[in-house]
Amino acid sequence: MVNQLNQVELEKLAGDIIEAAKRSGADEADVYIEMGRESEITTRMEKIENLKESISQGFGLRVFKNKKLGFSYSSDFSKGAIKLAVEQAISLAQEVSADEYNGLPDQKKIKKTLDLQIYDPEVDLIPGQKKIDLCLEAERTMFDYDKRITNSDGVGFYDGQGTVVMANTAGECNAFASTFCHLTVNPVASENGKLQSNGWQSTARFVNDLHSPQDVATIAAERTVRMLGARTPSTAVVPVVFDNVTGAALLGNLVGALDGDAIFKGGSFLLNKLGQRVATEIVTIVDDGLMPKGLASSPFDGEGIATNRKEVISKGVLQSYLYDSYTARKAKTKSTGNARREYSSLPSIGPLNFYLQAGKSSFNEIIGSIKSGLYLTNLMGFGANVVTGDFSLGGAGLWIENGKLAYPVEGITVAANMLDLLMKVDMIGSDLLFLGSVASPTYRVASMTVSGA
Amino acid sequence: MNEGLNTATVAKIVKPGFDAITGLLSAENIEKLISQALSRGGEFAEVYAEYSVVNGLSLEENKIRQAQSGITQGIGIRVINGEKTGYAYSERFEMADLLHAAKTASMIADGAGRANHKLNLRSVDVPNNSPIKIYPDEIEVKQRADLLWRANKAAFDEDKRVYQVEGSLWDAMKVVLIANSDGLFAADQRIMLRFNVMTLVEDNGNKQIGRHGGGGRIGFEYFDRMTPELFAKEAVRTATVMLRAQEAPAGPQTVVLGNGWAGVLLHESVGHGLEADFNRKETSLFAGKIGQRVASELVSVVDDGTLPHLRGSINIDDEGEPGARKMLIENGILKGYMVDKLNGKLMGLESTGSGRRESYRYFPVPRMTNTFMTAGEHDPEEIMKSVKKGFYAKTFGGGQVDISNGQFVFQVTEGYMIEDGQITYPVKGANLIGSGPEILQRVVMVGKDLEYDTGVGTCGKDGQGVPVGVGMPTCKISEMTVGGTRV
Repeated sequence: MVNQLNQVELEKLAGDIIEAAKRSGADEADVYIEMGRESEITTRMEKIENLKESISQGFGLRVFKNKKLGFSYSSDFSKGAIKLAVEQAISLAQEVSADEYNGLPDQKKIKKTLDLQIYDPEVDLIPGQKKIDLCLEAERTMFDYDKRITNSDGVGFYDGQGTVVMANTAGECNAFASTFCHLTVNPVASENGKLQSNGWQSTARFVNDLHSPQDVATIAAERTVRMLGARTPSTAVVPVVFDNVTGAALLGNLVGALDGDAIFKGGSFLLNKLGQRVATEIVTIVDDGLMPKGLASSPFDGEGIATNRKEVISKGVLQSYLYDSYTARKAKTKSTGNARREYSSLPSIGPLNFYLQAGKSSFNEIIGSIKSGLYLTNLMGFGANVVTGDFSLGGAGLWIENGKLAYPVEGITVAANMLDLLMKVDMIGSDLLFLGSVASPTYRVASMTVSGA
Repeated sequence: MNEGLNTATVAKIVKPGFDAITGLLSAENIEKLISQALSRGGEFAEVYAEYSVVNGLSLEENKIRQAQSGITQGIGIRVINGEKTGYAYSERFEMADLLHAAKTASMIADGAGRANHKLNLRSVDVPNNSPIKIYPDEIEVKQRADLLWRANKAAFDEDKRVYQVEGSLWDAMKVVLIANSDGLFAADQRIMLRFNVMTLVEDNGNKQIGRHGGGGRIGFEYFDRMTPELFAKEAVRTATVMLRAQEAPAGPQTVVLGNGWAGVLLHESVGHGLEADFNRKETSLFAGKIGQRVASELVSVVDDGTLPHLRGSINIDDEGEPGARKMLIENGILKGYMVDKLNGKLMGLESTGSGRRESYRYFPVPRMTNTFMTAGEHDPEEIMKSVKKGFYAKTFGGGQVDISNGQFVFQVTEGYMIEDGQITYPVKGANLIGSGPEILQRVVMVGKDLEYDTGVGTCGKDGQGVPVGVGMPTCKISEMTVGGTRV
């Protein structure tokens, strides 16, 4: 393997960049450095299809001069590239408007002892052959599940490790390392000349937490086969049950509306709702940067501010918006540690591990409660209008009749307003599952318009 | 050998990167890398080098908020062996790192290779489909800022109800060098421009958002024709129209699609399903259907990478093959797929210049460029007049498709009800949903007014985003499901 720079070397690099920025006249500056490796193995029809290995690196430099903001980035760590990036950032900063709210955040010391369990040394040691075997095992399980599974969009195993180092002119320098691994299984089923594709996946920080290839493949196969023979139901207003996938996707619509920047500018459907009831009492939504093993956990955010756990909606009442330091200053509040950053972009506001807290209902209770309705397992299209909260999404799933999953449906859309929807969540499952950093248990919305034939 | 791209035409800002790449990738070094890549017996190897500079400037709340500039560079090495691909890349321009990447990619094959792969590199003639008049690096930040200030002023002047305006201006300049074990050597310079305006309007507590953007493979001469004022006014117009919007209907409707962006329907409903990989793997519902009727005879669909200045246009694809015009569907009959080298080899087809990648971080896969329906014979007014009751979808957001069952959605950002051939009132954003082949059978009228989108589309596939264009004449679909809330 090509040598990556280690944390000490990256910290030195960060220090050098900050020194160069100071020398070139920056009043304040911070640098965000990323270095990591990723590996990808895919198999298809029980043979290896792709092998990919990569090492990525880059730094992003944010400078403030006379309260003006300039930014540059580069994937090149050479002295020449650093010099160019520093000159660019400083010279660009001359050209923009001064803004009294610009500047580094007020520092809070990061607890260096914090162990978020986001780094698993075992991930770097997984033998290539083991990854291939995992994929092949998953694909065999998937084909064995049902003879109507005749084809495959592939099985993939992805893993990687990365280090983030942040330093600034206030003398702070912090770092963390993290790992991930990910298994995805994508069957294609056919019956009467019609195809259906679907899939399932597992993602974890620690290799031992990854679900087994058999489990992932079995769910993937089940989700695919059960869609064969799907029809388009008539348009109706019915109860809709969201699963872990579609529930999380819908929850993602709240993120843009909670963004402190959108709130400040008056462009959010959650404007002026702080302290008000926006959802039913059973709805508690958490944003947590410190969740052990969380896929979005990190000790500090993209500005070096310590992350935390907060309930953004607590028993139906809106408790908090999400802020970075710039927007927080404008709004006369405090950063919530929600500045997200990659080396190639300026910090922007985003969620950490963001989830709807598990409820008390079992899956069977939820489905059993519905005489006629929709169990929505796939969503297509784009999110809600952040200003109005209106959304319309394509979907597919299973129709519920007399408390039982009856037959597959496709060619439908679900549409509503997010605020109305939150006030109609009347059952929440106990099955919270983190497929990504935005997560949801199964939940029921009392009624929604489902468009179909 | 490096005459593939005339160094005199390399814009100043990417010249250092271009020089670094050509300095490193001498014929001798390319041979070394290809030999290493094929050392375990792969059938095909390729070196892809890229240097890219992106500049951005944004305005919000009556301030130029930030100015930025970034550089990314990398060299990717790909080895193909049968259906298998090995890929690795390095962001450090050192031969040791590149040789390591070549070795990693070589591991996809498992046999004996040739010790020295002798290459007879020949430069490919690269067309210049989108000649640039004013390169982005000739424009000072102050001049760029002026464009944003003009949009800001025009938006606030346009309507008293405007309370927020944001604008951004992006340009990207990329040079690529591609060499492969067949002896191909190609170099290309790619420019991309993008301008966006967002406005928020409020009327008695009713708030709405409007966006408009555009760009393409064009220099700053773009703004002579497409002024910042034009973008601002259009963003304000779409926001204010929505102030009057009522609930959208739910269920099937006769649908008239406006010209331009509506081509996203073709992109989703047939485009993806005609990409060669899905057809080789038989995961697309179009697999094996060449020569068969898949649409109404009014429908002819083309993918054309050579159109000047469009966002999806290319000179060469990311495997060094020239962009091309491909007939996908002719009078309703399926004619052909979009083919890259790997799938071409496996399917016995020639590349159609469709092998594209987001950057050196990915290996190429078959992709669209600019996908559009050719013009028909009807006046757009005639089409509108023919609808007794229906839905007019004027402008669109994005779309998405499941290529296995053909189910696709696309998002209407500005839609109206039609009654007795007249537009009545606007409705809230709604998705249209359908199955590609079914909807294309239901195309009953096609307008004369083919138009391309303004240059804002990015298509995602296998985790890679590439710029694309779409085009469409006004068109009538006898029935399609509208995903509103009003039953």
